[in-house]
Amino acid sequence: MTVNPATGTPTLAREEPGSRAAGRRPFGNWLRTLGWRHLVAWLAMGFAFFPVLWIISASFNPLQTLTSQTLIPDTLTFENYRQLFGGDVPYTSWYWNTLLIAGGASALMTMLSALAAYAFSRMRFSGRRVGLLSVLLIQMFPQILAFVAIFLIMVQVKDVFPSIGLGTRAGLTLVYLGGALGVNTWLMKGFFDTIPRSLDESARVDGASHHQIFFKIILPLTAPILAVVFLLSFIFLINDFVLADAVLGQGNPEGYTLSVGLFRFLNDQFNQRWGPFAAGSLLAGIPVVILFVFLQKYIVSGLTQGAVKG
Amino acid sequence: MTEREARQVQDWDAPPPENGRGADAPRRFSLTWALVAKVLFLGAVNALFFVGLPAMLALEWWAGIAVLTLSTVLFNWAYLTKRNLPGKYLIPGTIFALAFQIVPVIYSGYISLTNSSISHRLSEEQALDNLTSRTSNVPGTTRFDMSILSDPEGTLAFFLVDAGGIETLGTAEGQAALSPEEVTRDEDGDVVAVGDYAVLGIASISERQDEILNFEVPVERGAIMAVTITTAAVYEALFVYDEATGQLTEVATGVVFEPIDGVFTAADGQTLDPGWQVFVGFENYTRAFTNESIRGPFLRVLVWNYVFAILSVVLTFAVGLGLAVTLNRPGMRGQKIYRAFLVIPYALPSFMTALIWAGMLNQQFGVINELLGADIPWLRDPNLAKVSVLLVNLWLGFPYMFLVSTGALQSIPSELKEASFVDGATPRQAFNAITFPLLMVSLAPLLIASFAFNFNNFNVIYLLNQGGPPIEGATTPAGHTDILISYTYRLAFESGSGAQWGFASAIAVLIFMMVAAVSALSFRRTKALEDLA
Amino acid sequence: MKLRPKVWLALLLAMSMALTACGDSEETTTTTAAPTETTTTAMAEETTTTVAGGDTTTTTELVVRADADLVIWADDTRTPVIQEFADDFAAENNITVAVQELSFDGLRDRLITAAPVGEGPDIIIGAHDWLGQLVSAGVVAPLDIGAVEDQFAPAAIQAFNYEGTNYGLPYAIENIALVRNTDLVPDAPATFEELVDTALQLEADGDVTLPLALQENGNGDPFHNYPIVTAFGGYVFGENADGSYNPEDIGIDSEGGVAAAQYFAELANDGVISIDTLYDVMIETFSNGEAPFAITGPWALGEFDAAGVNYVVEPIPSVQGGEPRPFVGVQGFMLSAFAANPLIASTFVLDFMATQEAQEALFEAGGRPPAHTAAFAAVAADNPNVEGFGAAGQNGYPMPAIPEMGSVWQAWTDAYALIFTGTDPEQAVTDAADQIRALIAEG
Repeated sequence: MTVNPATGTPTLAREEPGSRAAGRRPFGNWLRTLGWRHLVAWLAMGFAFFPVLWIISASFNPLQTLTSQTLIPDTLTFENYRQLFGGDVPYTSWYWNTLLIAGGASALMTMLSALAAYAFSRMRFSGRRVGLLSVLLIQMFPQILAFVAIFLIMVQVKDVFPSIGLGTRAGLTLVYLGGALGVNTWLMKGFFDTIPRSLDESARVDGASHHQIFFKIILPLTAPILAVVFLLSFIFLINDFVLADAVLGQGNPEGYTLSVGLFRFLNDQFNQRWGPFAAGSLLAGIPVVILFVFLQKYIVSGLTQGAVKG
Repeated sequence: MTEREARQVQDWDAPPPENGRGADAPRRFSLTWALVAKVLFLGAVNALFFVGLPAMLALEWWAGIAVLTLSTVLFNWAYLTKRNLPGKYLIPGTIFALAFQIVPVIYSGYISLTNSSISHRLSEEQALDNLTSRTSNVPGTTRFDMSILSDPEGTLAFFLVDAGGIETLGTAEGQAALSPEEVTRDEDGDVVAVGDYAVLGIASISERQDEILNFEVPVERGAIMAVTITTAAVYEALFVYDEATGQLTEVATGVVFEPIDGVFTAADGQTLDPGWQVFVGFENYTRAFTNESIRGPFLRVLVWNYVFAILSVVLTFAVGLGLAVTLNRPGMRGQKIYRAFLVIPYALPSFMTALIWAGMLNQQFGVINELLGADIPWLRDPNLAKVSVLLVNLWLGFPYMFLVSTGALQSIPSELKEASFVDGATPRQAFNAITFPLLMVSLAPLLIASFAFNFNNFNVIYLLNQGGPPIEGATTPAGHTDILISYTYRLAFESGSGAQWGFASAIAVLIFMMVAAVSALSFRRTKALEDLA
Repeated sequence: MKLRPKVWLALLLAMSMALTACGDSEETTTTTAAPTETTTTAMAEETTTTVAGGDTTTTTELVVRADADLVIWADDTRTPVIQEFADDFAAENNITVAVQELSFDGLRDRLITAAPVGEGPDIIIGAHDWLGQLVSAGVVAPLDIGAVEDQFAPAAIQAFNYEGTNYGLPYAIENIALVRNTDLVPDAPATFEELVDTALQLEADGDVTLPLALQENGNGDPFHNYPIVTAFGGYVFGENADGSYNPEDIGIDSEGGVAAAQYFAELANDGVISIDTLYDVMIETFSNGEAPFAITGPWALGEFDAAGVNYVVEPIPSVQGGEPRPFVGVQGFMLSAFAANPLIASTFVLDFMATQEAQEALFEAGGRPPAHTAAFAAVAADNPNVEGFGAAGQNGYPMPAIPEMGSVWQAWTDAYALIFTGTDPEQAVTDAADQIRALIAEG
């Protein structure tokens, strides 16, 4: 209502208490209401992006160095990028695997988490508090043996169901789903709690069943948090090394995910190939940023407010 | 109408209304659709059960059978009965958590009660097999060129040519002289058959490898055995196993080894690796508590661990929430671009970025000192190293807090804020009184989880500075930025004879108890917050 | 209630459908358990195309323990050249061979986890100092190399002998040496003191920024510092009469060890070396001519060559009259104790990889001096760097393979970090030796 979702520009400026002085001190007012925000944002961007500049620099540097490099290398080269796409390593298939696994698993994780959050938010049942606590605590166990345990489980699964066992993308996706209930469930539950129950109740009065309420009322209203949880899961899965290495790390190199492939590539016995690694990592970050830009309108949309009014 | 009113007051705890009766048309349609999906899904689950169970039984994979059976029962119970509404929503996620979160935790718990380590990794059978198959080349004996033979019944034999060119036939009975007419050769002079025995092709050799490797042609001392598919030599066993007594005897010395605590041990205490994994009860836990070297710098490490975890949460949350609130202002230009940039630290692999930071903080060659024109020992000075670790962890962690805060801010109804403005509250007052408490409803548990995560944040500690700089004069190698997990990891994986999974798991269980206790206590306090909503 | 019978009926129907659908997967289960003719033929065909096409991987479906007759694990410097020999071997014997690439360290750890559950390889390529762990874990099998051992350097053969049994076929010997920038320092320094003086003079003249690029990894690096330790008579483990290491005898705080630590502290205080010299700093400073000397191994030469710097490789000159003796590592082929095809595996290693041709090809791929005597001579004849590393490693000590070495690294590394930040050198090495003794006693 106040912001045009398509352009992000205000169609009707929101007045704050101090804006009465707008006519007399335009700049001072701007600084007080918006200007400082831009200042803080620029500082934060500087902090966030400064190390990234160095990664970019390393990716164009012909020397495989990280520590003592200059911001602009003496000579620029695309060799590091060429190595990724020149057939030395199956980088494109790592990329595809990662998008497929992380995308699919994140969507399923978000769904499973939303289902559980709905139950925790809307229903009162015995064991609810214990369940909530367990969901939070189970992921706190130190993962020292995660690699060994998951590896041994997936070896056994492979013997029974080869298509979802060790070395398969489906297998890795299933392993990831194990982490669906967790802190994200809490995040969603907190959000669900803020949707007034009167909405559910009036829907029930109209004859809606519990799953209709969930799919047709709750989910659309909670799009921002679904987007956030999807994004968080996606980022987590793209960065995961331990589980991906346990499930896929022993197969054909074409089956690796980005983190497994890049790590293998970097970690020669003595050599450290920082250049291609920096290039590969930068490119790996792109889907996340694109996804975020795409999801932003859901994350910060005014859907909730509209719904509450309705 | 009365029925509807009744439904309205119904709590969710009660069974939902009977679906078949009094339903209007669209509802029935969606019910049928849901029913088909449900039936297909349950059918697949049950089919999986009936396919998987026999295979699992054959493998005697009890944990798998337990999980599969439990899952199948739970699914059927949840979706075939009308009761148990929460179960319909909770069970799918729970099943996966059971298989891939809880089972690994149980596995770690089980390992913590065993002596599992590098030299106690195998089963008893595998360890025994390893020791009894050890042989040594009998000194002063010849090597043979060999062809592997088999008669029509499948009995193996070796056609042997010694260094002097003398041809013999090796069978399970022993070495026998050969007359030239017994040996059939092809036009190239290669042997194709010896008497009834024909030379085996590579496919058959490949198939019968174990048999061939175990095939012995007894000679005066030891036996002729295959080395490759074309050579053989004389070997004798190093150890002889007596099944009746369970003892292993070293042939050369006559020393007798008894199986004690998962390893063959001689009377003088000498042991034979590999041993095997056995149950040792709470020995690993006792060791964790009584161990002198752990106790050395333990307190120091523990205190820093809490400081690190708490400050990491506070700093990342303060910065993340601050930025979220700052940018959450309708009408602010460039919001989208700002936000996208702020997410970038989180989008790049932390493995890469932590190492980039280590390089930037390098005292002599790093860019930070270069820009400052200073010579600051960021990673070498004990206090500065702690600041550096926190700084890097802030960089790595604030985008997460920024994202979840931004998401959570959307749930705060703007009417509430507007109402407070009408009451004359300043934005700050409105934030403190309305926004922040509401945010904490959904974010408090995340902060607890973040605390737990950072408590065990091995990666950032290890990648940035390996826990360094070292503590001078410590009884056990430890660093000023070491946290419990990085410190004990070294003890469990780098001490003595290599990885000690049993001990490592015991430590993991103990650390988990510490973190879980703190988290559960904090969690109790969130109950009050939850009731606000 | 009315719906119940319908639910059950539909359920039964769906189940039977699902079961028929799953019938396929059931078949797959059995075929995987016992490969039938069809699957083997399919695999063979695929590999034949890979051999013919020279393409390493064409299989689309992932397999874990690659479904080949022979599976080899190697790290990425070795994978391509092994692949060539594997393809030849496969073609000659009409079998299938898969070469799988793992990271160097990951390879050892994964072998220990995967082999006992039947997911391991037949052959691995790794370093001799893994043997302590691999043997006590029971995952490597003895290998009788008696037929070929006289063709290899005795030190390399000795390295793969663990507690009297041979466990591998060596292929490369590697150690660190002095690498000198010939434009900055045309003449080889006769002593280490002369090297230090030359380097400090160059720094004073503003020609270089780092006098000696000795890799310290930011936290101290005992592997690269060891030549200085041995020059003073220090050592890590004492030697038994038979040449094996004695874990009871720690020599880090011996008289020579302390003297070496004191000399090391002098080097640090004079700014000859820097704790901030990470691997990439060493590469960059030497490549740019900002460091006249580097102490490193054959793995760094590729970068130096790429940067076009002129250099020679030579032994580290004597330090205070003592001979610097580096650690020597030997790379080789080992057989898994859980190999699915042990006989084929030993045939491949002994008949295919023990040849001069194979050993020279491995040198071409990794730049590490061959362990095969004739191959070394052939390679060294037209490559002075190999000669230089060979000379530097002539009197080196084999990297200890005993598992107790695992207790040494961290404490020893810490000692150097403390010396760099001003702790008394004698105190630092004494504390480190005490920590190591305590850790070893711990078991």
